[in-house]
Amino acid sequence: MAIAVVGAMVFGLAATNVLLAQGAFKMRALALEQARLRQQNGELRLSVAGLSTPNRIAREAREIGLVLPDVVEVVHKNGSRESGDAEPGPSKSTPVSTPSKPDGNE
Amino acid sequence: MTRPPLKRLGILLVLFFFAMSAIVVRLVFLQVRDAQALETRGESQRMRMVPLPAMRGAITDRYGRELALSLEAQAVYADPRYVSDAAAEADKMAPLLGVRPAQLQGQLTGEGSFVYVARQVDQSVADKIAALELPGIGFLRESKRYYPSGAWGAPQVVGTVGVGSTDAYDYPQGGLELAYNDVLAGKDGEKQIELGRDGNPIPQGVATMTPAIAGQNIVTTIDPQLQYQAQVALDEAVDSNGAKGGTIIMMDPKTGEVLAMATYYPTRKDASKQAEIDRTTDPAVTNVYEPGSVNKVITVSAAIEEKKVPLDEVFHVADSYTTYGFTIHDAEPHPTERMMLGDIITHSSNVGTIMVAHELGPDLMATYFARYGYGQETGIGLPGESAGLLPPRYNWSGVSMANLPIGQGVAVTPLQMVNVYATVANGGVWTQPQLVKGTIDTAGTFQPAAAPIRRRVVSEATARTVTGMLAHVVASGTGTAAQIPGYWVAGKTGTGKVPDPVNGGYLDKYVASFIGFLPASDPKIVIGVIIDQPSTQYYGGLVAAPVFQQLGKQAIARLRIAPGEHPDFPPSAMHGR
Repeated sequence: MAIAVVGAMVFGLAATNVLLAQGAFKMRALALEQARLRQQNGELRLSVAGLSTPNRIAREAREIGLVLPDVVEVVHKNGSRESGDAEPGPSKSTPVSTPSKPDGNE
Repeated sequence: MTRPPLKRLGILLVLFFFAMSAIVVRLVFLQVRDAQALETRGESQRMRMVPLPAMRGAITDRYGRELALSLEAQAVYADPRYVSDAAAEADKMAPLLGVRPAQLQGQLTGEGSFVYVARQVDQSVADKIAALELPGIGFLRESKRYYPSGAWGAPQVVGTVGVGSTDAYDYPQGGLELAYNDVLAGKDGEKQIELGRDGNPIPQGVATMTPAIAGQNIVTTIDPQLQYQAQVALDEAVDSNGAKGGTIIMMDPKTGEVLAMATYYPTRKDASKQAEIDRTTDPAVTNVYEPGSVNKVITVSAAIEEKKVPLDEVFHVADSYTTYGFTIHDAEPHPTERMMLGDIITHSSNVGTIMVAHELGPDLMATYFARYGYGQETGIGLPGESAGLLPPRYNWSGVSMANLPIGQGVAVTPLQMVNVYATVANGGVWTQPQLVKGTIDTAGTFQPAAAPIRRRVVSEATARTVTGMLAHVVASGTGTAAQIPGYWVAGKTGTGKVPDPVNGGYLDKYVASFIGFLPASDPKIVIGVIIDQPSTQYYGGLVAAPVFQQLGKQAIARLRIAPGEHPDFPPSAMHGR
């Protein structure tokens, strides 16, 4: 009887240790996986940030021939449009003539 | 003859007794007398406290996209005591780290128990080194700072972060990185690990940890698109005009939010050490210049506010003015002209402005300089901000009232000057410029920044009148190159001389500027373009105003600004009104 009890206890102890060891290995694997995913997330964040920069988008746009519009067009709620040289702004005029260098402050 | 067995046993017993006694005595020494010291010694050999630097918070633009962010990286360290073959280990690691084996070998054979082998190593490289299972080589988690937009992402506003040579912490240098370091840095943690005989952590060993608390994110007011366009326009303007440098600032006049702040410096696109140093200061707030004619808006608005000069008062303005042996000229020769206040601003007459200033008087002139923020930091929160140089009233001489009203003898930062125009655009209320909208903590909660300081400088009516004058400058004065078809633009040109720091007086060099806002009747954006020492053209109307026009168009499209109403032009003795 005593031998059976001791045997069971030894077996239980061994089994507990095995389970603990397995748990430790699993935790270690999960920690590594978490670190890997965190690293991947960081790299993707950096990638998104890099791809979102206006300089990259402008460069890509230039490569396919896109340019910024020179004329601003405003569409009103009633459907009318204003653009370019329309009123109310002043028409484009020639800059005042100036000497090559200021005599004093300008 | 053999000895009796009993006697031999007795001798053996005595010997055994003495041997056991010696062991017991030694055990008592080890387990009782020296126990504490030995335990401490053992722990010092096995246990190591590893700092866990907190992940630094990100700095984002106004839409939450990162201008600066930190990612995990690894520091590779060595404990030379456990390195068995330094030459072999150096040969294996050197190609992975991109350094010479001899350099590594020197580190691996050094004194002490800890030496950094490499800093901020990418995880993939660290994994390859770890796979080599080299004795005495360990890894520490640290972070690496990235600036995705590089030279286009307001580098001098954002600042930079250096890495310590002997520890794992970030050292902010300049910009928001430095100004908001307490918020960004978070709280470092630490971890205690137990090392085995080979210097590697024991898998089931003692490990206690106080986790690090990540830093908060800073949300700036920067609009990335406008920032990029401002930087492109500035680079082009500096290059095409053979200039030394320049600054462009774009602000929302109602909130004081800075939408773009671009500066030009020669090393901007470099990766050199000098470029790193240059990025630690922002000339938009640290450098000062004599503003020239853009300053006239203060003189004129003060005269209107104090009712010292009626709008229809006619001045007979010559092209030069002499006082105390000091002669001020208008920018170009002209016969004596009849000018009203609006004409003086429209044609940027120095002589006319001085005449207006004399009606105002020096005390009021000094008062309005102070009200518009001259001689005081704006409080935008960037490190090293200059208050500018405004001579104290008691130091003014007779000549002061001939040069201060036209922007000579006074020095301001570009931000101070742009904020003067933001004040006019905001109906006469000075608003503290803002670069930070708020912070986001680790739980994702947004905490808005403190509301900006505001103070009234001139009445709304005065601001409206001055706006009409500034609109007239663009419609038919010195600022026509800033016109945007379909929109009324208000603004002022400036061509300030550069002081000679060695001999006194002025150099034959200029700072060309144009500062304005649109639409004039309900301003949505203020744009200041300041080009330092152009060498092909000199006038603000020719060098800076076209840049304003270009950026104004882009801002209209970006911010969807609708055209406003016709502003009220001032009465004119020169234009028949």
